[in-house]
Amino acid sequence: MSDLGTTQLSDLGATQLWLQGVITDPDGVEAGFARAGGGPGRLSAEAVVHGSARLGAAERLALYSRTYHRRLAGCLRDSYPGLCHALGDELFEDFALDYLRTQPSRSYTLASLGAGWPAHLEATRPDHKLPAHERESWPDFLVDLACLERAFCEVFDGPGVEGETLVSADDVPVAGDLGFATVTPVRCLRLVPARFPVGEYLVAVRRGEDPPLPAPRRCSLALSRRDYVVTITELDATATALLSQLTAGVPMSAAAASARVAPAQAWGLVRAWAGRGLVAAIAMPRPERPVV
Amino acid sequence: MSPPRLGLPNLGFGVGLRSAHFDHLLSHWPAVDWFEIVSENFMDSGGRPRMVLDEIVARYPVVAHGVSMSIGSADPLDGDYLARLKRFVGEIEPVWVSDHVCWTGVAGLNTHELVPIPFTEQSLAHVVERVRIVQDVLERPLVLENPSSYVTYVASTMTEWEFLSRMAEEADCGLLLDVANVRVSSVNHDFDALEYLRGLPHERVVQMHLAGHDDLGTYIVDTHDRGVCDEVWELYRVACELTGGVSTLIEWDDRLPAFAEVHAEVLKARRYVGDAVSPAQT
Repeated sequence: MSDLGTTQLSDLGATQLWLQGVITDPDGVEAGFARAGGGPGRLSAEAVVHGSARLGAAERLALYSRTYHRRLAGCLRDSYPGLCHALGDELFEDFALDYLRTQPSRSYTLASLGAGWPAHLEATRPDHKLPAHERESWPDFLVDLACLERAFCEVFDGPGVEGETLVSADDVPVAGDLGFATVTPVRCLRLVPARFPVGEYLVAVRRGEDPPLPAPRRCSLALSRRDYVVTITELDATATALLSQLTAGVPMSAAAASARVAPAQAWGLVRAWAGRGLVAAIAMPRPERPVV
Repeated sequence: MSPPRLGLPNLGFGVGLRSAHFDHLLSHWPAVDWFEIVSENFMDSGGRPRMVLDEIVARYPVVAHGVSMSIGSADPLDGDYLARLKRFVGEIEPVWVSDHVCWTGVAGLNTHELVPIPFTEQSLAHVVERVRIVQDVLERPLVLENPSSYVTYVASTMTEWEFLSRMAEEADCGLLLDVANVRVSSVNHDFDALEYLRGLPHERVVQMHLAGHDDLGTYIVDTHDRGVCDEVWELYRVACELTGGVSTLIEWDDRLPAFAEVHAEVLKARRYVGDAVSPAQT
């Protein structure tokens, strides 16, 4: 970057690197000039782009800076409406810009922009250095809500099972041995553990309601998609344990044992999930007969 | 020598496909000449956007308009992006593929801003080489749009229309002439919009864009949030005279009204086509 000290940039790469640094600086273009190599005695905006009597060079770059930050914050707002509702517009934008500062887009698609935000929120929570039992609960709510909203986006636009024949509740055995049965959940299923009932909160926000911040309550949320509509099902601890095992490909007998549920109860849960379109297939292979 | 419009058809008057209109389109199937899609909004979708697109493709001509090729970036071309784009256009078979004469990021970042490039011999050679590569990869011609801009570079040694003309000829690609962007940039940079239009290789103009913008007095912002102003319609009329009439589309992104209103806005273009060749004659 030694050529940045000259009065005019002619190299394409150096010009773009300088301009990008200026317009993406979270503290504005003046700070960007200082950080990217501008400032008094060094490279000025006028050395790179033309100004005019109506609009100076720095003001022109500031237009790109404003659009960059607004566009990307707006994109995050579209993907995280629950988080925006919980924080309010102003605070949401502060959080969003902090995220963009540390994890600017490296993808051709804006669909990836918010992928790292839940982890970023967890890593930057103000009490992240404290032991778990000394932490406040409100950051848990924000992190859990962000995890849910990211999963929502992935399920909405990811591969689904529309057009496929799924297992219906009537196809599920009423009771009996689990044997070698395997249950395959639909590919668009996501399980999201939460310390707050963020599913109810997000559904209310997406309906246009104004829900209050909920009290802590541990739960697990199963996200899926039916006819291109994302569904959120809250699960209790037993159901979560069983569905987690099945999602990992564990056979029914081992999954039920791990979740500590009896065969009839296990089939009952599978039947309920099938009714909600969460089960892609059930295989009931017969044990091979010994060769006589 | 390439045939006019690279041999591509005049599709008539189209509308940009936007998710807010999905329900209306799926229930009404309005009589629209063609749709333009933003490629990146669909190319990785496995959900409703892709389902809607497949239904649209089955009924209307579609053009794939990208925003992330970053043809003017100093970074290497994104091979993963090009591979995905190639697969996508193989699936939906758009009538053509377009993007912008701009860069969106460097050093691995993507600002998602369509930033203009300096109009120098260096950047011309750079862009021409990359357009050829993209056309080889996609195995189809690329059509490139003039972006609206708020900066011009001290390093530039030629006008924007000179740059576009040489780029189109040397890379043998098409042009997407956004007449609204010509208006925006001509005010922001004090150049003559008519000189710009007259200076282009008209036989290479495959498509035109129309859009609304916000005049803030000292400069104009390309907002895509309203109908087309009189000044842009006049430029469009001249552009039709010069090109003989090409596929025309309105872009409307913010404060998006009902589909019928957007469609009605682009159909106003019919009155400006004048004696230019109409779609029915091509």
